[in-house]
Amino acid sequence: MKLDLASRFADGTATLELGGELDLSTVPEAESTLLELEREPHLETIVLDLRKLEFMDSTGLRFVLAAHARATGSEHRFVVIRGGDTVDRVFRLTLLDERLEFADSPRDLFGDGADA
Amino acid sequence: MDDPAPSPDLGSLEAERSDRLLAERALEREQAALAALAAAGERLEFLADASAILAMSLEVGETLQHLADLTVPRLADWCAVDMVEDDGAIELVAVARVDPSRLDIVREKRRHPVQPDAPRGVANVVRTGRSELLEEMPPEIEEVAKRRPDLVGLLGDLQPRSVMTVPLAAGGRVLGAMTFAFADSGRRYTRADLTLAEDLARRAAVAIENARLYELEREARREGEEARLRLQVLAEAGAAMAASLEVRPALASLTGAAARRICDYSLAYLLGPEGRIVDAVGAHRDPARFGSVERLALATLPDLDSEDDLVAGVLRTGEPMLVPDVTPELRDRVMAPGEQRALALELGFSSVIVAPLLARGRTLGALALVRAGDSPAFDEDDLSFATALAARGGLGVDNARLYAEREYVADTLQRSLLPPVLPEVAGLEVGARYVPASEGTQVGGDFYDVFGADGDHWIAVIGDVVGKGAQAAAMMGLARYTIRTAAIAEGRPSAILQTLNRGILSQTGEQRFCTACCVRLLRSGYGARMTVSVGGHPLPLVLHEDGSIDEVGTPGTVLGVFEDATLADQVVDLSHGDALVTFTDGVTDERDGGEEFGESRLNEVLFSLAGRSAQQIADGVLDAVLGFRTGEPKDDIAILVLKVVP
Repeated sequence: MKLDLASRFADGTATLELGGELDLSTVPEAESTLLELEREPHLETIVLDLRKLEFMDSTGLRFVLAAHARATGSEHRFVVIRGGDTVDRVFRLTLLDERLEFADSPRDLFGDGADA
Repeated sequence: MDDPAPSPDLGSLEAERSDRLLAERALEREQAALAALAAAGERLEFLADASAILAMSLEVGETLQHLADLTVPRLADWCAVDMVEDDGAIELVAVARVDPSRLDIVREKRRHPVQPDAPRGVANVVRTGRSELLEEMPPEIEEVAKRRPDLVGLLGDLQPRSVMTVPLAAGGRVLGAMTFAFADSGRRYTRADLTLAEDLARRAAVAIENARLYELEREARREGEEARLRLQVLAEAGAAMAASLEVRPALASLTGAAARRICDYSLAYLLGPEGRIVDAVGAHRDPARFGSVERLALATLPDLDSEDDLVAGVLRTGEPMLVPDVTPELRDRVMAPGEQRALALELGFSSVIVAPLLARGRTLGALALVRAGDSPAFDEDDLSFATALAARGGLGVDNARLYAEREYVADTLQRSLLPPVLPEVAGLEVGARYVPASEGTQVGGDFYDVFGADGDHWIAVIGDVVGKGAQAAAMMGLARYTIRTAAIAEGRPSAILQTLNRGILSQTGEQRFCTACCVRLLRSGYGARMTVSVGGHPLPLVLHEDGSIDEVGTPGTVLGVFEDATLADQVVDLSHGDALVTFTDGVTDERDGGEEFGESRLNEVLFSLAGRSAQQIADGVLDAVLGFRTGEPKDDIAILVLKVVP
């Protein structure tokens, strides 16, 4: 099983959808796709959609943290759309669930003040 | 049938049957566990023998021969080791056989070089880095054998019937392959044998790689010495200090050469990293007065802020200085009152040159040359010679420092490859296993350590550095060092991990982080009191003698990412027989296809290991994880077990 990637950009929001397995062998691919996406002009928000991700190890976590660090550095909002329990466990174990912004679905992203 | 005795009611019959069934199952389990234990014990003994061989610093070929000898007959009727040469050719380097008198036959068979594109066998294993297991020789091989009766004749009873070939891989490179064969003994290889062979090959490969690094290091040293020999042609004096690879002896050679050739005595001063003089050496033309010069050098180290001090002036400007005739007033001004002034008077101090020790544009210290009594005053020629000599001195110091740095880097890398020797702790069994990842693209990885802290406390730590390259390796060194140091000042594991968090954050560069579990443990009459803190790491488990398992600790923030890490301490009392099992995510994340080993499998394995020793528990977990996977381990796997024993 490999990593599936789908990226899109609309209204200042860059979304990278990850499916399958994010580990040592697939992180480079995800990294280069995301870096490409981060070059979009008028970028405001970066969204990592992990709902279809089935597995993530510590190198995958490193990818998420590096993306978060870049986003913080360039003052972009950084949101992770929660994955399944296996993936979410990694965030819970590292207490990153308290440190990163999480959403359950893309619709919840702009919930503050806007319509659901 | 007419028996008046009350017939047992169906319920109790059912219960009895299920009791018996349970008892039978328990017996089966027990027997299986005993067999597994015996097998594990045998493997352990075997691997211990192998590790002992690998730990001896022999030449690579010799080591591999010892290793091949060890495998026969326990693991093979014959065993061959092939290595990939620099030009890509595959060479047979070691071979062992049950009957050593017939070794030449194995060699004969392999006289023809291995075809690198062969679809099977050593070439394929070297090319792909994947093991091969042929439980039974396939029929087409028999066909080949029929077509090549010469080969069959040659092989005789050596003809392999079951073969496994495993890669010797370390640091992401395949160095060669080991082939194990059962021939006339009729035995057949199983997956378990393959796991053992792979484990053995992995250890061997790491040892070979270490030996190779060591060789490179020695070669570099030889090259450095050659460069310095060229310097000797340029200036005899310059070479004298080159014999030494440490700063102080290098400076002693420099002052020695100067004192023999150009002055009565000579002093050298060394600048430390903070821009202060940190050391000084001295030499006298007359060996009997060496001690006096040494004392003069060290009595008072020059104060760099002093306007009067000659050495300070040279260090400030980077320019050499000549004072042909030193007046008594100047002498008293530059020499500190007391011992230094008295020694200068005793040794004489009539003409002086001070030149900077320069290397790569930096001033590393200063060389002072002194003439005394009736000796002629220094002139401009002496000044240029002294300047050239000091330049050689600067190079020598720089070389010695570079060498020390390289030693440090090599040492750090090596230590990051080799797990530490675990201490003997009274009332505690310590068991550990570590398997590095097969893909060496990420240097760094898992580490563990157990050491004594204040009083009777013990600190155990296990962690995982996630990052790339030498920086990650350096971070592993940083983590170990920081934890050991922090443990002196800090009692609570959470405070130790906070220190590590800050330590990693203070390093700049590539995004990386570390997860760790730190445990402080104190033995007591009933068992042990343990304080656990966890930073982003899998929570440790306590395995009780009855097989029940508790997760302990509170999840804490991953280390090295946030300034304000959330870390908690949890106090847990352990009874005799309780085992604390700590591990890295390589254990739970190991996968078979899409499925990971996971916590439930870990719990099952631990249940079956209840009551075993700490080392047996670590071995059992590792065997289960390695047996579960299909490919090579992708991540480091580390397991550290502490068991409280009476």
